[in-house]
Amino acid sequence: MTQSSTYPATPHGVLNTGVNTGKLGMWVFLASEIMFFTALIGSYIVLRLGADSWPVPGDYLAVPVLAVNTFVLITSSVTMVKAVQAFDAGDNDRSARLLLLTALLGCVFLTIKLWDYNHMIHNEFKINTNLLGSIYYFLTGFHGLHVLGGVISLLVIRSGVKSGKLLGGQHFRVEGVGLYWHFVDLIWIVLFAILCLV
Amino acid sequence: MTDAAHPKVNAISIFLWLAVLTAAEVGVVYLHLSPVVLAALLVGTAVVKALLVASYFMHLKFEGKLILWMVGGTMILATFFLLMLWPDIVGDPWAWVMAEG
Repeated sequence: MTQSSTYPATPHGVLNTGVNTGKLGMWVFLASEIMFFTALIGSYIVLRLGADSWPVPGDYLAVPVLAVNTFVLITSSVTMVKAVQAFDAGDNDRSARLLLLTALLGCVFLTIKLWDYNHMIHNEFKINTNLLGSIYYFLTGFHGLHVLGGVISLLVIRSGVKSGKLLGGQHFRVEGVGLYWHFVDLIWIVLFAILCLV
Repeated sequence: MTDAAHPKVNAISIFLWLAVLTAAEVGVVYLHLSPVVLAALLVGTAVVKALLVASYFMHLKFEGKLILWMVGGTMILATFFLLMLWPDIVGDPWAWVMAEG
């Protein structure tokens, strides 16, 4: 049996499952990311519930600044949705502008995060100050690296959209980056609640 | 459902819900509730927000069975993983058996 008869691909990489292969791959990747962050959050839960006492997050963290950062990230998710919709509508210029705006909002998030780290370190809240410090820098650091990866992906895909190399048939490439970006937003929503507020 | 069949999502209304819920989360912190109630409220709100993002922004609400089963299976595995940490949280759950033996 030949490979083509085993996997009867249709144009643009859609298998007989009805799902684009790239999209399926992105979801498999995101599934692995869910398990990765579950492991990190699990470590936090064990440390938190196993500790005799736990520092009050509000005593160490700039909660209002982190709340602003949350708004920045959910705003970037909206611009990402609009970028995908514009690409679907064949408006590459608008899609490229919105992808750039999404990347810029990601940079704003990272800048505020770095300012937040700097502010906390100056206030003697470091990674080795207490368990909250260790888990906070660890979890938000990994999340920040994911945001950085998302910003780079957005800029790469934007150049393809802007130059016209990505056309409607390659819809998934933009949607795939969008899926990743929304996932990064989703993880921050969880981290913000369980790390910074509880 | 195929990839091209996603309906257009009203991103602004989802954004407004997320913004309101985020503001509510921050506001609740200043109400000086008991830690258990506060944790339940914040985790509950975070779950609702995460579901909004996954359902509408990530189009899970409109996806076919294949992706839903994949994501659902992953969530079951993740939940199982967290439940398996219970002995590490409460200490050795078999200690009383060993003590009586």
